Amino acid sequence: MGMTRGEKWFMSANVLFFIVLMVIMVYPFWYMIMGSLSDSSLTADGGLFLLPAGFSFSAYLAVFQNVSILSGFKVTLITTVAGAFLGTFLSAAMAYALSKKRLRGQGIVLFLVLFTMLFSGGMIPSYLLVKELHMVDSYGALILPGLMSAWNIFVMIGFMRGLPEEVEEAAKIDGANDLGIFFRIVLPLSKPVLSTVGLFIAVGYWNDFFSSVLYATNKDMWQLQMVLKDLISNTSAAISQAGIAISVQQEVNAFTVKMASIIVSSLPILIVYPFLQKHFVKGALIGSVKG
Amino acid sequence: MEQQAELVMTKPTRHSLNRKGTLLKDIVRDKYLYLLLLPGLLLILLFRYGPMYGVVIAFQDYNIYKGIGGSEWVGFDQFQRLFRSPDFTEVLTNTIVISLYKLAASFSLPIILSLLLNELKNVVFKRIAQSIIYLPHFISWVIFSGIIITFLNPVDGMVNVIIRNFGGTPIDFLGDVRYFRSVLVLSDIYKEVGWGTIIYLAAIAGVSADLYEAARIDGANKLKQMWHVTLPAIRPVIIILVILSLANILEAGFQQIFLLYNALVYDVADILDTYVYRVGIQQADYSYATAAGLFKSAVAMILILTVNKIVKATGQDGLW
Amino acid sequence: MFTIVESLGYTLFGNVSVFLLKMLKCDVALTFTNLLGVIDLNKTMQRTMLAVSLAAIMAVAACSNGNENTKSDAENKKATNTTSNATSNTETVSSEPLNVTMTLMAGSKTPDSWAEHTLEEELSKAMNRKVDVQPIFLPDWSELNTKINLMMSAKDTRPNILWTGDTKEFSKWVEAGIAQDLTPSLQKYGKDILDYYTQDTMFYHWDKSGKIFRVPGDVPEASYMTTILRKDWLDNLGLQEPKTLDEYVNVLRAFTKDDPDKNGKNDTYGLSGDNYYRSLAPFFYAYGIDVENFMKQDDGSIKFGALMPQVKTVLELLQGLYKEGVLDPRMTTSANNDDGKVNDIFASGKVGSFYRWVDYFNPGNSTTISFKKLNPTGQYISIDPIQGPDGFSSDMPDAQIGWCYLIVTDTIDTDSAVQVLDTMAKPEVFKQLAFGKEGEHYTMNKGEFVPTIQPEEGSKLGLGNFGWIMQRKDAANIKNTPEVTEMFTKKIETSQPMRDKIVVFKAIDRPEWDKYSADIKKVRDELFWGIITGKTPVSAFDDFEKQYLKLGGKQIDEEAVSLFNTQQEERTAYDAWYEANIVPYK
Repeated sequence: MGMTRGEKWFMSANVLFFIVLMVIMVYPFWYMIMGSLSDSSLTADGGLFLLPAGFSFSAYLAVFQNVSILSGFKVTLITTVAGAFLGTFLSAAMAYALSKKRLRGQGIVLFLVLFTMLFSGGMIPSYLLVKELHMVDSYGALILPGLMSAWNIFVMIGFMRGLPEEVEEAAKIDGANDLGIFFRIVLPLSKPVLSTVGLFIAVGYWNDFFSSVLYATNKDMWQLQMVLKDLISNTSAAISQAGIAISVQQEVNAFTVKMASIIVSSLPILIVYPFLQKHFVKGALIGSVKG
Repeated sequence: MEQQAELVMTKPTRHSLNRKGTLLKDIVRDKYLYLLLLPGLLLILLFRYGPMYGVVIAFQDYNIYKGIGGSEWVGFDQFQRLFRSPDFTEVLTNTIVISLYKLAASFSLPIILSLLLNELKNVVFKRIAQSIIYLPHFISWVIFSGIIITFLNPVDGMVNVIIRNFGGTPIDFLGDVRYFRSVLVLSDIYKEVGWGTIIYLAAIAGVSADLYEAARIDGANKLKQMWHVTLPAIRPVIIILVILSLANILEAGFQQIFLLYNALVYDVADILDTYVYRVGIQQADYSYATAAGLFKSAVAMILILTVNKIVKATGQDGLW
Repeated sequence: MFTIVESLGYTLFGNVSVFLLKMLKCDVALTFTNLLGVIDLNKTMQRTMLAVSLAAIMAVAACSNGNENTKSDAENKKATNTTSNATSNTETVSSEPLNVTMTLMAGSKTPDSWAEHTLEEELSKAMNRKVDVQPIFLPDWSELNTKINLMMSAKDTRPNILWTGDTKEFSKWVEAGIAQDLTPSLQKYGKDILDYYTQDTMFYHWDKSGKIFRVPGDVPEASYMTTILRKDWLDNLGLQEPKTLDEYVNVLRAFTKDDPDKNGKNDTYGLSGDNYYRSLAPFFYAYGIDVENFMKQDDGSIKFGALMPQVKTVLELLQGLYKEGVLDPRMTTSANNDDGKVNDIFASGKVGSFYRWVDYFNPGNSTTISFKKLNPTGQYISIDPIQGPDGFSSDMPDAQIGWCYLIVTDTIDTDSAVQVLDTMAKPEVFKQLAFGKEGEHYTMNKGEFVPTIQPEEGSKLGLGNFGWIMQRKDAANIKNTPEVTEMFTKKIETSQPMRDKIVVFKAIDRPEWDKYSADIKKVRDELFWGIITGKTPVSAFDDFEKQYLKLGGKQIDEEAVSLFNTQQEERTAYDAWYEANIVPYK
């Protein structure tokens, strides 16, 4: 199979384009890595562009000495794994049912789902509900309220509508019921979208801090990002009292420690995607099923 | 599997036969579908609709200690206050303009980028490229805005050092109304474009290889294959994503703007959310903030329903 | 439209929640096996997957229920405890253990720390009963008020002692009876607190009904910012310390244009800082104006500072300096809620003057350490406030209200709470909680505080966690060197001229101000920074007062005048009350 000259030219230009793009996109991370490895008293010089200013691991030591980082890791890991699996599975189940136009009440349910994307009762009623369910300071409170997202469900519906209907019908004639079709045909065929939505949900849980704000009073139940936000928050925030902005001075965590904590906390989620990528190239499956 | 596929071609579909069944019959027939629907729906009803009564505080002068039952009802006062505020038009215009720029970019660029990614032949390179261009998504705005301020500052920011080395005069990007929105949109693209490709790549992965084969036999080149095979195949996903993105039509990116703006660019950068934050949330005025939120959601809802209708009128699958 | 759907959702929710709540209480797994058993499933895989996922939801919910049980036991104990305390409110000291929950914002927020145990020991000693301190760590600043409001909204999650910096909710707490009057308990057990806070400070926390519903947590020094200048640059250029505004401007010009660091490059600025007006205090204050506050006028009336005619003169001067390159252009954008950026500019040593923290003169300040490392020969000094054309000069005064305060909520008896707070306010206890044990964690070297542990160890010990609950800014704050302590003392005097001019409102409820000030401040900031950077002509200032009035300034003014007047009456009443109710107990 030969390529025309134009195609060859396009391929090379494309590769070059992505090399440039990668350099640009990786820079902020490089900047943070440099920052985390710098000597904290030298970073103010404004010269932090390509190489660290001085060299020191002390920022990483400081991060790992912080007891709350480890408990944050634990909480976030549990919510992320549980949330991603449960969320993906339940969204897929809902989406499959809702992708069937014949389903009675399909329209109403879809509208109910869409409605939650736009309107919410706000945080006070949500907090009161979780409190009434006796779920404050529990994993349930950090996982369940945000588990179902309208966006994910609609995206999955979009994908599932695109699945070849013939396969399903054939299975039906073979005597399979809807559950069988869902588990044995739809789920395997939907791997790309399952991975995508799974990744979105996982990243959502990984980056979540607001659930801790709302539903955790015990610091042992703080999610990682909450610990992190507290660590890097502007400790000299202006506080408005009686309309007058005044400022409080508190020893601010060094820039290097902020950078190190961000690197440490984001690495685990960054390596998830490369592992999921294999499901994206398996889209060819659909072709083979049909063939 | 092969047998099943062949059978389908000859038999009429089953649900077309049952379409006229009674309600009960239909429900019994689809019992397993309802079973699949149920757990997710229960969660939504409990955790999303359970607290939904909270929207009424937009029509109250809400006091958290009196609760919704005890707070005073004020009708549409909060909305009037919002609409009559001296900057409402300016703020609304800014919101829509910035949001439309971002919408246009976030809709088109990831599609183009994922089409290009899909053309990379070397699988390892493709995976590495994908994994790297989505990195900026993981940097929070708090950190990213710090980097932007450092890099664009008119004294020793890298961008201005380069401008100066080429003999230009430094530009105060963040303090100049001519550049500020561009900074907003470009930094947003930079941060999110790679992430945006993921979903389209998943969609492209679902496109049957046969279609490409057929197109190639017909003599279509790469560009034509993209145009005539890939794009039509992922069109349903694109439509759904565009409709859903309308939900954010009045969200121009609060965090980003809040962290980057300053008095010199209020003219072009003050959006609904930053305005409501300054007026309402800082004063713990929940009713005002809720009213503003309700206004945004109502506009988005109308827009989504309208666009969905239009899409369906053209014979495509909308949201439902 | 949404009301229909919403009510639908709500009725549905009613049933569903009952259903779910029932679920939580019975054997979850069993229920679901039954449920699945009804349905004919021939594929074991399907059954297990669905069952697992459904059971997982319920398990999560159930397990959280379990957690709650153990916790609510503790809370029940606390509750009974509280009531027993409340009944034995007077005289008889309960021998039962006391649990105290308090919200904390300061320090590294280390749970179950050395500092916590030290405090518990001290409290048990002082109160003659076992005391268990249960800190509730608040989230970072941006989410702080959200969390506080949520916790306060229900009695079972309300902390016994609330620390907060937000005043917006305070009157609602008083109105709802959540905040208790502390006066009798303070008289009995609050000697250290009453001794430490001045009569002026307590005025702002006094309710005109003759009650005290809150006590301040941290009252800053009388003035904590100062005019900072590069001494070595002055010497390099052969200049004297500036006294008047003209001299100061000349020094800033020289710092910009005459290569003060002798590196042969035109890379220095005269003045930098953040984009709050405080950074420009040497200019505004020399003219006796504060653009953030109402100011007393010569004729006895009061006026919003940003409207005073002298503002125009200052803005014109600043516009010229900005154009000349004397003002660092980063000032307009580099503040954005990040003090670190300005600290970096300070440390990099390319700017000659700041109006910033006195704390920079403590050798242990990290910005100062950074500056010294990057500029080994550099030296900053603090100078007297710059004199304006009329000879007026002043440093920036603190209002002395305190920026954060404490509420004893209706979940604990006030006697116990005040005893806890008063113990924390004792200098020895405060020093231990803030800095550790002398000899073990730090030593004093000729009056200078020398920590013997790394900052990370200090965080682990929880040092500083209890700061701001009762933060002493006097000699007990041993972190200040004797020189810095002396600087703070001197500032009381140098900030007095502006303290006499600025109106500090006692009232928390300023509805008109709350309603209109956001719009007015926006216009003001756009205008002032526009003029300074040369984007707007100076003459635009002439329209400001008209705009101010149009945007609700009239209502704000009327409200301010009436509040100012009642406040003066209240002050007379307060002074009499203080004499009778506080002085004898000091």
